[in-house]
Amino acid sequence: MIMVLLEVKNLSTHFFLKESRVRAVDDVCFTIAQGKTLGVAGESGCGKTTTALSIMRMLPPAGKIVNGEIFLDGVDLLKKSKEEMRQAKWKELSYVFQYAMNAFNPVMTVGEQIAEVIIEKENSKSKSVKKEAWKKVKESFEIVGLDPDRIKNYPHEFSGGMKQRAIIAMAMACDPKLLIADEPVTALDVIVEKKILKLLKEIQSNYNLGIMFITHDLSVIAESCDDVAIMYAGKMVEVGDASTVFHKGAHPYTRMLIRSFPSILGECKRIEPISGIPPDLANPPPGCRFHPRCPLASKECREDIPPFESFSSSRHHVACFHAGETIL
Amino acid sequence: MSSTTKILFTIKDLRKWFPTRTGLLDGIRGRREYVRAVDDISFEIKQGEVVCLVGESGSGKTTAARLLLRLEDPTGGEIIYKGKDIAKAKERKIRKLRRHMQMIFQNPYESLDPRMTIYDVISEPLQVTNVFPKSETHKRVAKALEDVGLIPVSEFSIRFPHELSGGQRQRVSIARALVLGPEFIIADEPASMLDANTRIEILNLLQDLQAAYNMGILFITHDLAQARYLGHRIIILYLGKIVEKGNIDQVIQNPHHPYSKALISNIPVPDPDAKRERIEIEGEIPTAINLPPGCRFAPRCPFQFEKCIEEEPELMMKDGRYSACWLD
Repeated sequence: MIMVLLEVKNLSTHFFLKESRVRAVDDVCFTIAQGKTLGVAGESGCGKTTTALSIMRMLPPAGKIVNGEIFLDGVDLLKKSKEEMRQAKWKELSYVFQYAMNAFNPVMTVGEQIAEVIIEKENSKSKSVKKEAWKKVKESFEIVGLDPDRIKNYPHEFSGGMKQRAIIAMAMACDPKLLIADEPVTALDVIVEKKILKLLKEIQSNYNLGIMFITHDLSVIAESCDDVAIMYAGKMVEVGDASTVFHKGAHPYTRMLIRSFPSILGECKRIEPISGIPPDLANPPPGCRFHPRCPLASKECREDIPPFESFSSSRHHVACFHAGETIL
Repeated sequence: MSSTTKILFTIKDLRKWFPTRTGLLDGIRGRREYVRAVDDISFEIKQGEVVCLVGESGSGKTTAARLLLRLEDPTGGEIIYKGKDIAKAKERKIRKLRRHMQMIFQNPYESLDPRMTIYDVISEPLQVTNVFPKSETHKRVAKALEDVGLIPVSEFSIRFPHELSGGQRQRVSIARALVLGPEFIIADEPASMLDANTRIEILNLLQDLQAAYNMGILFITHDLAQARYLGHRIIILYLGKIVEKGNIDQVIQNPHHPYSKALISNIPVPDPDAKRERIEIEGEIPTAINLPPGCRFAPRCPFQFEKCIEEEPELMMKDGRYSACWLD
């Protein structure tokens, strides 16, 4: 039986700028099951990171959650006070930022920076807490496959892959239930990337961790995620298990996006890109936001917003009036 | 490609060693250490051919490319450009040749001067080289903009880089490289910073321009899928040495060198159900200082044996491609 860990319902996050209102995330729904990975993909600016920041309640000042509910283990995160949310971070849910591995403080040892998190969360600076924290740092190093003797090293003494492991160690230091990882392997080389993905899988199965994996690279999602969510222009267009989305993707955007990734397998054919560019979210087109670029667009698409409904199974949702139709 | 195709570049035993910073005492004692960034590599680039230079960060890809354009002075070896060795040619002579060889850089957000209009960016090479009459400048810039699809020309000419998207900026970089009518272009990860759809647009554009102007392209990338999409031949580098080179489809479908095998088997593919055999290798690419006497890959190689540690393997031809491994 699948236990739902995170449930995001009708989330809308808008940015209020001087003269406009940018609908960065609009009416987004998805769930993440315990011990499973949801890969969130889409082009830059489609709202992946804003969704994650909304869950963490770490939006920049201009960003406001205007609607929706976010349940983590049945508790609505949006109803928590600032202090309660601060307590929940790292312990309940933690976040690996994009390029986080480059954000280590260069004048503190890696171990100190991880211990700092643990001590802060214990809310006490007593000797026993500190001792316990350092013990945990060592343990977390072991979990991510780093030599525990290196906790006294400085960030510059670590390679890119090691820093990324240390960031994961930090995120795991307080035993969270949910890990949000924003482009965790993007700057890494292929072989290191594969190792980090494998590490995340191991940690996940050992700790029954739910992971929200944000990336623009669908190949990485195919390698590492159970479920896939495809976003376009602030909207969720398709969610389903990886195999269904990749092979029986029903939304034209999903299919066209998958097709635009060259592969080292199969035939090497010329790929035709999707014409046009994503819309300006301060002034999104009426109806389906993808309609100006969609080969299947009809009158309906230009006028009405397609509902996000289950398609081939109860776990497969698509927002399209022409879901599953063949693209010529 | 016919056998009479012109050879643009013949690279023989090209070498670039960077001295490391050593202490005064070591300096007096004559002890110097070198980073062997590029260490005796040989290859050819023909007219109208896309050669892909592939490897992890630190493998020497970019240094090799910079040597070809003489943006860096080689420590040893020959760079024969259309029959003439330019490895030691004077700067003045090189300047004259550079209009035939141009470079496209990875990051279009950094490679364009923010205070120059697009027209200025693209016309600058014409002014610097001064090989075409001034009266042609306007015509040539317009042609380059048209070639890269930035139309209407009059509208794009007056814009500034910040007004353009990442893909459009990269088109400007390509136009800047094209405006002198080069016969050879080095493209250093030209599409890696871009979204999937824009990436395909840029790769398609390069493919079309390459065919239209019969240019030779040295395509530098860490992404084998991109390499396969665009390339004819591939060179795989590891710590400044060529480990394998040959026809790109042959190498990707049936790599000989254990490093190529590991690299190719770890590339993510956009298919969650693809069953592939993985070759795992230990650790990360080390720096190219104090290299062991034998094969550079031996310390990480799952198939290493005595001979690998004692003696460095040479590139040997087998089944139509070269690889440097004692097992082959």
